[in-house]
Amino acid sequence: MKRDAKARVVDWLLVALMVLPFVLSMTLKVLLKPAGEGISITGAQVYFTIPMPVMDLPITESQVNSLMVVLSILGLCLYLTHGISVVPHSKRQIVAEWIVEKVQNLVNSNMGAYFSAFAPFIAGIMFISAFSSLSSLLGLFPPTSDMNIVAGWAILVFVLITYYKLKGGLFPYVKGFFEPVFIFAPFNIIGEVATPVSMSFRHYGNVLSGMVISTLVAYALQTLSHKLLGWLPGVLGQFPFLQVGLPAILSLYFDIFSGLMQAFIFALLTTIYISTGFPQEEYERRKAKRKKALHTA
Amino acid sequence: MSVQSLDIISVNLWQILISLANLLIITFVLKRFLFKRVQAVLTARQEQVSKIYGEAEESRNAAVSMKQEYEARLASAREEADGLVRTAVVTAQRKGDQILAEASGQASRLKQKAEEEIAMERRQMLTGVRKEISDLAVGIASKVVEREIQPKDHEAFVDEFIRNVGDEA
Repeated sequence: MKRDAKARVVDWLLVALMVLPFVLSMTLKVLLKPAGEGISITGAQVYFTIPMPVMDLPITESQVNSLMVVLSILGLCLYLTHGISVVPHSKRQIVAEWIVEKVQNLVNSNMGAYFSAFAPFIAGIMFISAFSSLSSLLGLFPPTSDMNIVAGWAILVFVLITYYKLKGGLFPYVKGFFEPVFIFAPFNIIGEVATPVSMSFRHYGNVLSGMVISTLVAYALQTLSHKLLGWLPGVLGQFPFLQVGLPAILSLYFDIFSGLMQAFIFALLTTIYISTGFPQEEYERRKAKRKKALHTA
Repeated sequence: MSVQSLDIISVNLWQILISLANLLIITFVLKRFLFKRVQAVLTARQEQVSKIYGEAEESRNAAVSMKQEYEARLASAREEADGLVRTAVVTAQRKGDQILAEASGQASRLKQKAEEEIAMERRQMLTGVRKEISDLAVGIASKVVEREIQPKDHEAFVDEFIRNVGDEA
């Protein structure tokens, strides 16, 4: 019984770790962001700037929010696996097992058994992207609508793609750029670089455009409401009645559906790019050759 | 207070690096705190399940072999019982026959002995009767003809007569 109570206290602490970062982030926003007049579509608000070599580092809403997302995911993981046992007796264990099995299956079927250790990375992309996009539901600035955030992930993916391509040897990798004829080299190089750029722009553009459209529609509805219903007396005339309803449906699409979709697409593209870039046969051939050389030596 | 914001499209090296590091941290967190734990539990469960299955199979095999053994033992016991009954029946029959034969033998022996005894007694009786009759006859005759008859001559005559009477009787 005493142990039970202790476990419950730990549970509550972990839920707090999951929720509090967002509360903190919202408080920060409420405190630091003045109510704007009219509409403004800008990037993330800069809280302060740290001088750094090469270029200064502005600490923005998206930076703070993505840090909060990291903390929140840590809390979620700890909460889901707290008190995990061989015989499951909690719903959250079933949820945790479901997540692990689904991601592992996705990775195994899309990337092959060689990349089965990639499951946490793919799950990490999904979680961080989904949490970042969904944080807009709380009125926060979604970090995924900041290009720097998504570009960081895309560059990491690009590094991994290149790393696994190089496993087939440096010469075949370089040779790959001159195929089918050497004239194609510039296009091949552009195509290679386009991968992270397209990945990051796709994700960031989707979330940002959703935000822009939502803002524009909300503003338009407000204006329309003033024009049509302005004759109503007192407060009723000021209240933007038309803003009720439609923005909610748009939010349902842009914030929830689009956010989750982009997270899934980003993760799926990562699996496909890494596994198709990896020359498995070449790699195994080289490995066998090296082993043989080691034996003869 | 003037609000400072980034442009919609702004590229900052440090922000990109921080974001990259965040993704790496998230990967580590998921691996350490979600995947490893859950997978450890899953493998443990798999092992437990296969162990339970193995045990069930083992005990089923044991039960089957035990059943076979019991059946075999039951069959042999039944056979043994049958054999026992059969031999008992045969023995009883033999014993009965023996007893019957003994009894009949004894009876015939007894009957023979009794017949012999009867015959002997009859002979003795006949001898006694003959002697008495002869004595009687001699006595009567001597009394009747006391003078004229010589006992010696007449004894043979009377004897002969009695023998004839005895034979006739």
